[in-house]
Amino acid sequence: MEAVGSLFQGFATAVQPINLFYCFFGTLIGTFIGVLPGIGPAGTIALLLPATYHLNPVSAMIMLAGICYGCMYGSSTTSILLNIPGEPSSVITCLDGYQMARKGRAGLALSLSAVGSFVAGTASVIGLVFLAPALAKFALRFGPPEYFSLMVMSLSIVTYLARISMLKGLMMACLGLIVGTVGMDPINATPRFAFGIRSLYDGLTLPAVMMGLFGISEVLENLGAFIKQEVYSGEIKNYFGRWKDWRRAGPSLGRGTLIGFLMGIFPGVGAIVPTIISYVVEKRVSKHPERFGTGEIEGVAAPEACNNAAVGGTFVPLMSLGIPSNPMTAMLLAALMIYGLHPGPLLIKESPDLFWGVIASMYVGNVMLLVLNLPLIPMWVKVLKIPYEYLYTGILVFCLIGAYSINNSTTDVIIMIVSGFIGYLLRAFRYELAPFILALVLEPIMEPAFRRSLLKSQGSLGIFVTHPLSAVFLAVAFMVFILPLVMKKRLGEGLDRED
Amino acid sequence: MKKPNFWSSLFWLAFSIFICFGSMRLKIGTFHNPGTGFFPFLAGVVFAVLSLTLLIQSLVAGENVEGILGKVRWKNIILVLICLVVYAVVLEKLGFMISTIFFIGVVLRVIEKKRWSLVVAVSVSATLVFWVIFQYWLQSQLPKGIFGI
Repeated sequence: MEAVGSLFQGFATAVQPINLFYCFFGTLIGTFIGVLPGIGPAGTIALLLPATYHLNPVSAMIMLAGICYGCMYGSSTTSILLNIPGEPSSVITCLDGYQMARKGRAGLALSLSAVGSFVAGTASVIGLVFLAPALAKFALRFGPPEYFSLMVMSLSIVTYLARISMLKGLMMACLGLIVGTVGMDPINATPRFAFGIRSLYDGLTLPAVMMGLFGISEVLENLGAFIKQEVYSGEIKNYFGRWKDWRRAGPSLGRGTLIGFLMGIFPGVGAIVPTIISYVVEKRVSKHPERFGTGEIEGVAAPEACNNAAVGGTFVPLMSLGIPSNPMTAMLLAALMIYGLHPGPLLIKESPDLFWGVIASMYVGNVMLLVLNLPLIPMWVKVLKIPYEYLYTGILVFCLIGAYSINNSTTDVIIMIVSGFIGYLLRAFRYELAPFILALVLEPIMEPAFRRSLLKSQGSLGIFVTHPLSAVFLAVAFMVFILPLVMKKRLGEGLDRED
Repeated sequence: MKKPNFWSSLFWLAFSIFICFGSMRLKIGTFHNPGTGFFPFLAGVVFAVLSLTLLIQSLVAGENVEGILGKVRWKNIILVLICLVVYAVVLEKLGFMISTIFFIGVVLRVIEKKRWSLVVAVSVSATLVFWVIFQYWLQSQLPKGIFGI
């Protein structure tokens, strides 16, 4: 029961007034940007990163984690009220959530989503407490070959789950690895692909790239398109529904949580696919599958619980292995590195106050979300009514100053603008950004692991298959590559239509 | 653009070949002793193969997506990009205050065509708000520029 004792320590850290404040602030900002179209959690974390340099890492991570789960909650609000998912993982919530709103049950849908988030958040904190330290202990045995293969596996899963095309996903992963090599060679400090630009010797500034890809490029996309949004104008009332409704929702919340957490812990899976699966499962289990898509309670409860549980799940590989699953956790990983910590199996041992403090704060944050957010919904609806021209101007200024203040250098601002335009073109040509970001973040860990393995084996690639664990990871990666050739229908299929 | 996959894969193919040659100049080394260019070379080769696959796929199977980037208000995008780049260039010289007031003003006036009175009011007040947020609260060091503000 060592874990329980440590968790109590964590709570002691989390309820310190300063940490409570950052937790509150993180969830609030998270919800805010979840509600707002045009900037997601990865971009926001990138934006706030420079501001956290002078904080202690524990408070900073508590805030950044708060952004992650707060955002999941906020984006459900827009899915329900507007039929616009703030984040891809709440696409599924639109299907029944928006229909519920149209039938005058927006209040119930919103509180289902709040309770779902809370239940799932709580459950995934418990899961994290027991799973992450055990996994980290296990991962202590990993050497460079195991690490390299694990990262190959994560990247292959991410590209497999790419919704557009696995081939293009793989291409983006390669691009990420190439762009990641810009800067000094980690082993003998020769500059690579820096074209004589001094500021590039340290590599591309990751937060600047992220702000470009997830802030600027989205603004460009919206500016170039001809769409006008409409805000749900009906009155939101009757948050609590009937007892019957909650009895129906209960089992769905449980199933959603379970699916979300269990899938989320696999490195590379993220939150989107579990959510789709949980919806499909609900449809299978239901006695009236034909009613799904017309405002079924189960169709809101399960995916809402699921996407929050999956966020908790993604913290397991992040905290215990140092492997991110989506751009959001990739940004958290980058943050940990910037704070001078060593993400990986030693993190929990070396910085227990960080790990346990963040976990405990996730629980505290979920309680805050539950208590605060339902009363705040009218405010979020008002936020949605901010005209887009003011909103995007604000986002642009935030990104500009945010990028500048990373190193007080205009080179980073230029990097951000260029990444923004490239990101816009990539989206337009239907290339997905997630594999790119993950590969970019993992490259500095992956390349030394690869080269050290080769040095260890004296040049034999066989080392990756003779080490049993490494072989297992590669086998999974291989299966993931083969799967689409064997299976006609892919997991993410059908999502293109909806978003 | 009619065939996005065809054109983009062609571009990536050229890009990956460029990377491969660049890596060769950085010394690839051997499997026994991998050099600086080893990893980018490997990634470049895989990238080239994938791009070629996409190219062939698009030639053989055709592309069933409708054209992209056809209905885009390029004027807006170009204007915003120009504003962003100009901002980056002048920021350290003119300082945060002046640059930001002009940036917001130009975006609201030129792209959104708001009334002048509104443009002035919003750009000045928003800049002050940003200044308070960044300077005091986030403790960033905003550039003061030649005018010292």
